[in-house]
Amino acid sequence: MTHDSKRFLQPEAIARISRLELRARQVVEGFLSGLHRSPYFGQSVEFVQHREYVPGDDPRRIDWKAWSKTDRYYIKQYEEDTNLRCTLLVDVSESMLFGSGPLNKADYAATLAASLAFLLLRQQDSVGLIAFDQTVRSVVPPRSRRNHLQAILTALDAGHPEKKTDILGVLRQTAEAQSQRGMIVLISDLFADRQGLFQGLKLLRHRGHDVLVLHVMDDEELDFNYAGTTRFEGLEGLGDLVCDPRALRDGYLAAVQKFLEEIRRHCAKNTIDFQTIRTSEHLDAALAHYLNHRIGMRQTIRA
Amino acid sequence: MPAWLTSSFFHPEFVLPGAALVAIPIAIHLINRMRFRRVKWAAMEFLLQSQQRNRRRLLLEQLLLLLLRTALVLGLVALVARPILDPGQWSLFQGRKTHHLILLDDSGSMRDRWEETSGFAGGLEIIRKIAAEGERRPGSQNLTLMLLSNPDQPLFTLRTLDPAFVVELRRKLQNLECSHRSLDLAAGLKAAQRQLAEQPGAARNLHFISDFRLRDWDEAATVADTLREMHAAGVALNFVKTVPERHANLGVTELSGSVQVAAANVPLRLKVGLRNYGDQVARNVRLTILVDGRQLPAAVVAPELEAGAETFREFDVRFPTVGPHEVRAVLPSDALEQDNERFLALSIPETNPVLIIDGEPDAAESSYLLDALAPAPGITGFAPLIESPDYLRRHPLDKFQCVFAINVAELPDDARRNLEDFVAGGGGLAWFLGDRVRPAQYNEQLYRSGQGVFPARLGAIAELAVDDTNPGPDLTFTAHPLFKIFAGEDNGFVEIVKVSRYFAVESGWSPPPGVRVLASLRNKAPLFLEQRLGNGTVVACLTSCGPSWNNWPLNPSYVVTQLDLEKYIARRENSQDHRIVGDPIQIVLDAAQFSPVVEIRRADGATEKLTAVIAPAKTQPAAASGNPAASAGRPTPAAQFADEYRNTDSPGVYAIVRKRLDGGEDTLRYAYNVPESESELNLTTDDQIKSRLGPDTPVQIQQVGNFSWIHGEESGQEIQDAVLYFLLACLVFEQVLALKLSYHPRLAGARS
Repeated sequence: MTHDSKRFLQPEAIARISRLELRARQVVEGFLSGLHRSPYFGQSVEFVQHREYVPGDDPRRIDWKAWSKTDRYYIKQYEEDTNLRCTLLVDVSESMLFGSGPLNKADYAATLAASLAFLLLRQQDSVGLIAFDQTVRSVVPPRSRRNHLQAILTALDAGHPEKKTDILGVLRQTAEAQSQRGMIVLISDLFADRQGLFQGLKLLRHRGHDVLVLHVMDDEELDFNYAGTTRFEGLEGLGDLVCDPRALRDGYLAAVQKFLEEIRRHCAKNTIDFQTIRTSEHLDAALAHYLNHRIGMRQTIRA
Repeated sequence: MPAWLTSSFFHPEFVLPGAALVAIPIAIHLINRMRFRRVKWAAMEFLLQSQQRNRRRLLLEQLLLLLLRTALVLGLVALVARPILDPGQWSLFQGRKTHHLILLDDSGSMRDRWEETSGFAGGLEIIRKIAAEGERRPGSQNLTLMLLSNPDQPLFTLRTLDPAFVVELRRKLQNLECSHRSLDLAAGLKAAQRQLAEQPGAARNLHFISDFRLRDWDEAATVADTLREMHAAGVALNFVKTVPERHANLGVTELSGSVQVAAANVPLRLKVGLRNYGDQVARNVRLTILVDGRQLPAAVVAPELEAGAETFREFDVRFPTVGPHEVRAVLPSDALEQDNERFLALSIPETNPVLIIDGEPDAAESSYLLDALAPAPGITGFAPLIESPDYLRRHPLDKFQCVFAINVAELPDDARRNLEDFVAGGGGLAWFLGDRVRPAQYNEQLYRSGQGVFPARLGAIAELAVDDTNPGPDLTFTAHPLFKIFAGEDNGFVEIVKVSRYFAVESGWSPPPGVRVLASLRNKAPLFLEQRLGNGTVVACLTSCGPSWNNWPLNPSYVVTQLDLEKYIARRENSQDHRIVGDPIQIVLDAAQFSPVVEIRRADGATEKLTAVIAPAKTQPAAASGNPAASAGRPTPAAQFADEYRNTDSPGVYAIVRKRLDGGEDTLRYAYNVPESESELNLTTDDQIKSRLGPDTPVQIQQVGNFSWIHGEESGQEIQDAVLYFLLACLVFEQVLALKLSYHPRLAGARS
């Protein structure tokens, strides 16, 4: 057992991991009605279609029967089953510490990530985790072992976040590291450089990854129901502001809406699934969306 | 407390604490800025964007809200402290030293009563209120109070309004009484102008408190000039009315008669005048007559008296005893009490001596006159004495009321001088001519180019020829009290008087100024002439007294005319019925006869003593000496005591009791009545006052019963309303703005 692992063995850390697991279990179990199918084509038993050979394809996949009939090289394609490689990109920057309810965004994001991981592992999919802030703070490579969840949970509890978000760097790094196409689930409040975010997401899409953005926002961040003179102390070193929040509410909400709209438009443009999730919502909502998304995605591809 | 505060607010004590309250919204604002909760916030980017975009609007809105809330507090303070719109309108509230000159009209008409108050009481109340208001601003207000009855001697001059003075003023006002007199408004205003001119630096106000009767402002050129000058000199003019409306008023305007011929036990006919000063018809006006305090059984009744009309009634009074008597005519009570009474003081002698100088030794002619004046003792009250012309040389004539000179040929110089002194001193003289008259002597000695005691230059004896073609009367009379018996058309008495001879006036002579022809013959020759000489009256009849030259003594009209002639020319010293309240009583005492101490019994029952001082003999006013013997026919005494009694404001009878050196007393009685002019209660309107003064003399006119101008409520009320509306507007605007600027979840509603 490593030194880091020992740290997680501390009672507080263990309790937290247990709580995460428990929460994930409660949330996920209602959705195990069927396994998802991979949208990707690999080596499997169920034939899907032929495709003309192009240089670079494995010659072993050439369907010689078809060659004999058509005098052309075709490759048989099969449906790939359980070879989903899902990488959870979890934002653990300082801005994720904000929360007006029982869970702050970081906790909510961690719970969400753990739930997804638990779910995926239950389906024998391989799940990896990258926790990041300004840089990648911890990386758990994708595995499909059931006991891999522990590693993911340990990585999620990777200390107190305190740095800014450098999302472009992290996404670029992820894109380079993930040579095999898979699914990238970005769980973040997206309070980062907008252009960097868009560039990073676009890069991931270019690499053929299926990108799912779970945008975690607190109720107050979306509704801004503050009243009375308040000093807002910016996380991630964005300065302070003393103001009457009621007076700024309209402008604030307009700015947030503009921000959300911008991201939503960009994601739609790049076929990225985007979902804003309130921390006050139950995780059911997030997981239901995830599953629906998976089903919808398969249908889309097969069509 | 600063003076500007006291002059700008009704309740200046609330202003400074109220102004401190303005700090409350500012303090709340600042405290809110300092007391905030801390929130660690992730989405600073959007908050900063919002703040950046709305910075200017927010600042303006917050500032506006703060100003509105501050204005709300100020408005509330203003509501309580009650600011004054235009302090210049009423200088009690001016910051600088202000001189208030109050000129109080205390003329008789201010006694006008209604309900439980009167015009004068209203005026006093206004002064009290002004003083009370001034007391609230101690040290900044000076007050001068003068009465219109005595403007040259103000009651208070330039006194600072402080609590001590206000107490003194109230005490003074408590004992202040309205006069009965008619007062000179122009003189009062002139005095006020002089008084105010002594304070050129200060703000000056003239408050004229009066009932503003129409008669005072009918001919107000001098008044308008004075007020215009005062306005030009920077004096603020404030007229304060004390009488709300014209009230009905009846007054006794006259109580008179031939009191000079009154005698004990002889009926004296008196005339009383009644006037309706109101604007409604008065019915069944009942006038009570009191003689020496006892009411006569029969009252004088006027069944109907039109508005503005005057009527006269006559009644007979008999005085049973010799000595002083008093007659009083009393009307029922009305708005103006003072003119409901009129007084007449009489000194009734046993008889009135009349001297008849007859030029004929047998006195045949004068016997007719004697029969006419005193047919029997005690009937007419006259005591005729027939003497020869020599009597005039040896005896003083002061005791006679009048002298009849009948067919006197001529008069020696000493007799003539005695007669001239007698007439100049007020005695009456009647001439009747006859065949003994020597015209040349008359013209030279008695006429003396109009300077003597005979009124015409005589010519020769003339005959009045009988004119058969003209059946008209021989005599033509002018309207004159002497010939009342002949008054009226188709009077039968005129026809039967026939004149056969007469003295014609000298050819070419015409009556000089002062000589009046009372009756003429049908040939236009003057028959009766009248001349005023000194204080006396001379009447000359150019025909005979007896029937030698005419048949008049044989007619009944002769008796009446002679009695009327006696009344007409008789010494009028006994008549004191025309004194008006306020007129001084001149007291002149012969030092040889009287003590200088005089007791004055006033009309209101009070008694005063006055000690006269030695005065130069030449200042002796003969008519007012009260002692006929001192003024006529005798050398003027070398030493006299003289004084003047001025406190004759109350109507009634004043008695001057003179102490003789021999221990006896001598009483002179004077009846004082109120002036008729004060009975006119017509009020002038604001427009009339302003039109009299002209547009270049602005004046504030305060209405009756409205004291708000003293407290400045009138002007304050205007701004109070404005403040109220301002406050409401602020409140509404503040609420709207606050609602707009604040966040209300139910209204805002949507969650994204």
